[in-house]
Parts: sequence; structure tokens; C-alpha cells
Amino acid sequence: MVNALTSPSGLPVPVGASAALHLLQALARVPAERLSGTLTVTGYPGGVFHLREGSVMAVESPGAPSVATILLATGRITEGQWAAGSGALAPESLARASVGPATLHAMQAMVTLDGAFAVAAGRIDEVELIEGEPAAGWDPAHGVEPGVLLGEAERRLRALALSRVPICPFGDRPLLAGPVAACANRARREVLEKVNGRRSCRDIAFLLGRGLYVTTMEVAGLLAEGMVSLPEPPGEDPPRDGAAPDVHAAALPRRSRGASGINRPEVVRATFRPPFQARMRIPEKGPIEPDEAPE
Amino acid sequence: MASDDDSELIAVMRALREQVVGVTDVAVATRDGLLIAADSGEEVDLDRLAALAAATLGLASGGGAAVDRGVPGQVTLEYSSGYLAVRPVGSTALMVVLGDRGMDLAGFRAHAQAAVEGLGTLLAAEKVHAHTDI
Repeated sequence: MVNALTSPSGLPVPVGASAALHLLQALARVPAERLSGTLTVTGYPGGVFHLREGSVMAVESPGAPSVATILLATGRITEGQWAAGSGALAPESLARASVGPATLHAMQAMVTLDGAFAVAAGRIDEVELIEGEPAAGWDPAHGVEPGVLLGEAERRLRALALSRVPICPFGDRPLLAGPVAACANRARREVLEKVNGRRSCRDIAFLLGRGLYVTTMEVAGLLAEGMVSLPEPPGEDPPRDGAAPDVHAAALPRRSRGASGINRPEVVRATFRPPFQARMRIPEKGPIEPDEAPE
Repeated sequence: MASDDDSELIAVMRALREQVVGVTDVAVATRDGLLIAADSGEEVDLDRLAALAAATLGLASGGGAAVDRGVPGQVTLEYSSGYLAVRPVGSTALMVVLGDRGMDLAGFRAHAQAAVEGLGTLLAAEKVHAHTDI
């Protein structure tokens, strides 16, 4: 059965905050109705929530590395083993990489939380819930409760918004502002080695095989310390006499620096409202620390 | 250094990279594998990429004819570390895209056509020429 989420008037699902509210409402239904199926979030980067009997088994998003990506990027599974498994995580490959069931489940839970953060930190355009049997391959004993997922996404969004120099995990592409060798911390140095002005935090996370949230917080810390910087927004060029019209101006919208608003601290403090804030309680006190990077 | 004409092409390719999560490099080349322009990092051998893309599209074209499936609209290859996608640009050029393992394939399909049309418009207007130093 398809339950396309529509507005009360029957119009298509609205964009932005309203769509985020639809996601919130849909996830609230999951445990209450013990739903199985998929919850597809269209947006930037968007993602798919795999549901089974009221729990979220996995969140797959282009914005956050999967378990396979982490294992491949960190070298725990070789390209040959990946190919031998026909592009999947074959049990033999996992055994050779010393990835037991417990480790795999822990990684899957971490990736699920990271995927939910990626969806929540991005733009949400549409939400569609399709009830039915979830795809095979998810262990029903290791799902994540939607409330836990929402709470963790909320905590991470809040931590990111409250960092000294908030950064968009997807749109901002930092530049090196100092020598990489000056950084004594190995994990941070590895991040710095991937910073080139073209890569976002998300791109660096995929390259290193680390979580999106952990990587984003590392870059936010490097920004605060002045080790990296964000490029200045491009200025508008005055029109040239006789210049050909820009055929792409209308067809290809370009992201303007700061369009998301996430990088303007004065705006962030006033208006940054994570999609899940309405539902989850936020601790009043205590430091908020990024999670440990996966080994 | 890119010329002004190349800059327009690069702007189209950069827009595609920024619109689609996971796209890392974009290049436009002639159908016979000569690089025209690219929005790419330094670690990519662009001449090799252009030649590879032309060969890939040529093979797909031959395969389509052999199985009576017409001409390819897009060729996508999945590797252990990411994706390579090739789309024809008009009848004489192509666009090749590299993406990481998380590349948003649906987003790419949604945005690639506009990029191809933009590149085609620029190339058809004869605003750019193949690099002479290849």
C-alpha cells in the first residue's frame, strides 16, 4: 500500500520545514503502528529509511558513508574481496576482514544514525511512506527505535549549530589555511590532507571512510582553529558590453555561498531549527561532544 | 589556464557537481576522445579520462546496435570506489562524470540532462575549441 504524504488540502507534499514535519509525523507512526516498509525522503541529499515492525533497520543516504564504503575506504575489505562478493558484503569477505556479527551490527547502527543525521542536516523536499516487506538483509533484532534515531539526530544538529564556526556538511568546501604538518593530531591531519577547496565534509567522510557527523565536527574544529577557511562568496561580475547572454542562468541554478544560512552565526543562533526540535527534548547543560570515529 | 570560453563550460560542469551529491569530477570531450574542458581535481588524468569515456561510449553504441537497442542515452559503471558515467552531448561530444561510492544516481539522472543541454548549446555555438596541446 502506498501512503503518499500530502497536505490536508490534498496538494503535493510541500517543501522545506513542512516536509520535515511530514518526516517527523511519518516516523512517529512507525513504532505506533509497527510499520514495515520504506520511508523515502527526497531532497539534498535525501535518503531511505528501511522499516521493520516498528523499528528503523537502516538509513541509506548519499550524504553518509555506508558500511561497505567504510570497510572499503579504510582497507578492511579489499577491492578484490568486494568484487568476489558481487558488489555486496559477502560473509567470507567480512570474515577475512575480521568483521564479526557484533562488529557489523555496531557499524550498521552507527551508519544508521549517521544517515539520519545526513537526511536531517540537508534539504527535505518530499516524504513518501510505502508499507510492505522491507528489503532482505536487515537483521530484525538490531533495529533502532525511531525515537532514539530522532533524539540522536537532534543532538547532532544542535551540536553542529552551536559549534564556533558552523558549517554545512554538503555545500561548504573548505580551503587549507595553514600547513598540514602543523597539525599534531593524526585524525585531523588526515582530514586536512583531503581538504582542497573542492570537497565538502561529506566528500571527505567518504574518502576517509568515516562518519559524516564526526568528519563535519572535525572540520568545524579546524575552522575554529584557523587551520582551514571557507572561500569568500563570489562577487557579481558587471555585465560586459556585447557579451553573450548566460544560457545557464535560468536552467542551472547555482548555490550561492551562505544560501543555506547555516554559516551565518547570527542567523544560526536566531533561526536554526533542526527538523526534529519540536519533538525531542534537548539537554540544558553539559558539553556536546562528537562521537568517536570508527576504527 | 582556462579561457573565457572554457570558463562557461566549466561553470556548467561545476553547477552539476554542486547539484548532485557525490559527483567529484566532470569533463567534456569530443567523441574521439580529445579533452575540451573539465571541472576536476588535480589527481585525475583528464586526457586518459576523455579517451576512456570515448571508448566506453563507443562500446555502448556498438553494443546497442548489436542487440537492436538503439543509441545509448547514458552509460554508468559502478566500481568498488565509485561511479563513472558518460552521456553523449550532441553527435560530436560527450560528458563524463566521476562520482564516489555515495553518488546520488537519481539526482544525477535528474540534473544531467540540463547540463548536457547547456554544454551542447555552448559547443554548438562554436564558442570553444578542443585543446590544441593534446
